[in-house]
Amino acid sequence: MKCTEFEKLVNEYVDGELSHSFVEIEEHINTCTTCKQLYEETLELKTLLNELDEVELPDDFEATLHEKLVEASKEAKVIPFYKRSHNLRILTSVAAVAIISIFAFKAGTLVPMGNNNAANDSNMAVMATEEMYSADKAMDNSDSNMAMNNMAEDEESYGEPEVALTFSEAPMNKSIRMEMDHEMYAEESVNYWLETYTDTQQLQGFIDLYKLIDFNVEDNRYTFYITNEDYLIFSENLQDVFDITNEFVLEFKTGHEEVLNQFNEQVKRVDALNAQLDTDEEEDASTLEIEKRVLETLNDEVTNIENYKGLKQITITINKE
Amino acid sequence: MEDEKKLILQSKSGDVESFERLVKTYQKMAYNVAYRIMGNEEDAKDMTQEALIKVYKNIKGFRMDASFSTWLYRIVMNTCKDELRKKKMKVISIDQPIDTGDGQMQMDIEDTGLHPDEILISRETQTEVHEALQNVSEKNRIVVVLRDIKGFSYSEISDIIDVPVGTIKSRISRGRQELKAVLMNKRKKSIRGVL
Repeated sequence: MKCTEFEKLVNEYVDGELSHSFVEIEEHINTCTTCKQLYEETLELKTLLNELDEVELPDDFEATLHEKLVEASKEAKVIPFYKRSHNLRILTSVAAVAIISIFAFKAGTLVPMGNNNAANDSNMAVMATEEMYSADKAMDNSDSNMAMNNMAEDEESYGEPEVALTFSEAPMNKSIRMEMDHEMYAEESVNYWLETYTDTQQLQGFIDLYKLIDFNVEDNRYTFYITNEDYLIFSENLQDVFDITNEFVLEFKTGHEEVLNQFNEQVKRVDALNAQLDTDEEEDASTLEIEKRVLETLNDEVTNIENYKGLKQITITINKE
Repeated sequence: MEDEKKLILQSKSGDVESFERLVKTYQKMAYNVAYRIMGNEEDAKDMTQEALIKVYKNIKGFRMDASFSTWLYRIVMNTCKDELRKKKMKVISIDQPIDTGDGQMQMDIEDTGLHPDEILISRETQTEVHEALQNVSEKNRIVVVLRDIKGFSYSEISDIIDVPVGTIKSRISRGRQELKAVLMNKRKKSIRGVL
């Protein structure tokens, strides 16, 4: 073994992650003093870090955490999904490669337009003003709220704020930029929309709004529910644009097959466990219990899907880098 | 792990107490990891709690067949990374520039090396190591902390920060090199009149 190769492998060796056999490396350590020193130093560094004392949690950690959890639990109300709307904080963009900006504002009388008119109206009641979008990347929640409220005051309130879908004329230049923050989670009640704009500047007047019934965040997966009509417009206008860019991976899934599949599989699993259940075996019984609970959870999710009947589910997965 | 599944299920329904029991096994270590990455206890506390709140809020979407530990740490890491980005922490360069691009280190001081017998895990050393760690560049520091403080395997780290194992290997290598350089530099400075 050469020293250069040793240098490459010494960390893996020290970490016990070597996929090679040890023999060559250990031989080299015994025969090469430079590398032996390197090995010892690497081991030493590792030891230094390993032996750092574990610090204790601050005294008030659990208490303050508890308070925050209780607050968070109150925010999550059980409301039928199709009636619920969500609040998102406006977050600084994180992903280096992104296309659609998802902005969220506190609910106001936002875009009071009916769904039917949507496709034909090119200029939305909600026009993004320059001041709203000027702080392109870092938007402060309060600023946008203010902007929203200003706009809202100008609009006539139609009651229940329904975000309408519209597609303005597609921009000539179809290169798109998207920003998404993986931190997003629902808080209260909002409206949100997707917006496309060119690389160099945000195109005013090209505001595309979607009625988003609900969303979930799991890792980098964003799930939206929109009506079929909205979906047709969405897919027509954006699908081909997504194909243009290779900068990120966008999975454009529709349907609830995934959850249904999981559910069906779980049903089978529970049935199988039931069938081979030996009631004398405690372990079997409790495993079955667990799997049943999992089934219940999946059942809930499937039920939720029922609530989304007639709606299309879209999952967007953003892979950074 | 059976108990954990139960707690997760209960947490999914929003039960705070179950959630607290669920994360009790994770919180201290998560706090320590955050501490070694952020460098100070106040940030560590904020990041850990923020991450745990996110875990609580998003646990409904957690798939039972996934690893809870990996998911939790993923959120902790992302939270720390975002905060670091906001703070725009820079690697404080010590006198000598350390080029970790290709692993070469430019140091015109004599490479005296770290000798096992020189290292005592005293309080002073602990502080020294902790501070030296803060001078390791962020990406490398994160990997080194996850490996040597928490003890995650390369593949676990790869899952958590969503980076290929090959990249993990090189970050660990460079991270340790940086750490060594910083420590040796400090020692060189402080050796005068101390030993």
